[in-house]
Amino acid sequence: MNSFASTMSRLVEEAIFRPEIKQTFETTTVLPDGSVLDLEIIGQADGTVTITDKEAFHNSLVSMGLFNLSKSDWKVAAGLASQRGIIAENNCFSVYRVSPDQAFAAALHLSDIGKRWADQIFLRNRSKETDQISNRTLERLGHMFPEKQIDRDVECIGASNKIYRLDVVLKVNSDVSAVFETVNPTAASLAYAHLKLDDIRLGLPDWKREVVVNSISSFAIEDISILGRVSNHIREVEGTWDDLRTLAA
Amino acid sequence: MDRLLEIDQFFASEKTLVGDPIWKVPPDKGRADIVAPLSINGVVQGRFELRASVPIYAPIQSGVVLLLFERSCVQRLKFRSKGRHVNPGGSHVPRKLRFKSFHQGGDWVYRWENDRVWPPAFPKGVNVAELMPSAASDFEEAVSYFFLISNIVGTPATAPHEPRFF
Repeated sequence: MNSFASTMSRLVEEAIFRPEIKQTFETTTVLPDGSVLDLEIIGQADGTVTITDKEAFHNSLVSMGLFNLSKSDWKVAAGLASQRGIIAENNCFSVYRVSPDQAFAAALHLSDIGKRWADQIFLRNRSKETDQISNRTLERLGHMFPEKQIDRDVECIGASNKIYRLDVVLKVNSDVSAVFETVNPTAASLAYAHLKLDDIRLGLPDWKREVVVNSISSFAIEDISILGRVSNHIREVEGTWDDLRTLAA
Repeated sequence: MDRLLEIDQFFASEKTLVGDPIWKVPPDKGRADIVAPLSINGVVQGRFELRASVPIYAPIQSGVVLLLFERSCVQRLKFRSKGRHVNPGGSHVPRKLRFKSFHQGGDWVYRWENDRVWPPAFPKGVNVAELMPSAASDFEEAVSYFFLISNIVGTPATAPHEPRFF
């Protein structure tokens, strides 16, 4: 902490001494895309500094595929930011006219609020996307199989006796079903899907386990390998599903 | 579906590598490994995967490529093998391959079709070898042959080889 504080005070001194040069403060805050947040410190003529995230939180969300952030998303940002005297505008979190002795605390608050906002928006969008994929899975299965064979929100018990809620289940025959699990390329989703499918694999070894994703290319190859170990197939929601007919035959 | 039939179908279908798998070097191991999922018509075949491993610093390049089904080897190729091998002599083994021995440094392949009628061997993996029709000049050529007999489309990244002579 002390080294961060001393680095900050040195950067603030330099920023005030030479306002034409923007200083960069490296934080330990991890952005949703896995990169680390850098803050920009700009010296002002009155001996204060402006600290900004240089649109880092916004760009991080864009790089994770959230291209259309709405006005309401930025209203959430403004609401969170105003609690700590931070301004959220023009895709940027900034704090203006901070005295040198408050610069470090301001940087901490800015990182914290920005991270909280980015995580909130990211998770909300992911859950929206997961619902869309789940609905689309149901729709596509509905075109291929009779309605009585398809169930939604089914509960099953894994080998550990833990009860899982399954998004979509296709009854292959009286004993065997195929579980359709929607997964997105986030650590939380991958971890939970792996736990769930592995437990189901051990508890219900005859059941088929199908992973449905938006796009296989958005996953790291290693993550596909990990999912592959606990599933029968990994398929794109808009891909070719002709092989499913043989599964149910 | 019967597992053996499932593997037969897998070999009969044209497969593609998912993404561009790269060689990774585990710390302090002196070897590089690659793991690649495979897909048929855009659907990733969960329980199958391609693996390869090469020593990096060995003066003479060698390596092994495997196709795994639920972590059991169903087809593999040894390029410049570091050991000897003698085929089993069971009735399931094709007559010309029974008790056939292979010498160190050779290139041979354990094909699924030579071993699939032997369910007890399944957890252990295929164990009946046959020589590659013509010796491969390097590991990439051996991998190309393995891809050809396994019906896999695509080319993995070139294997790292930095020979060190002591």
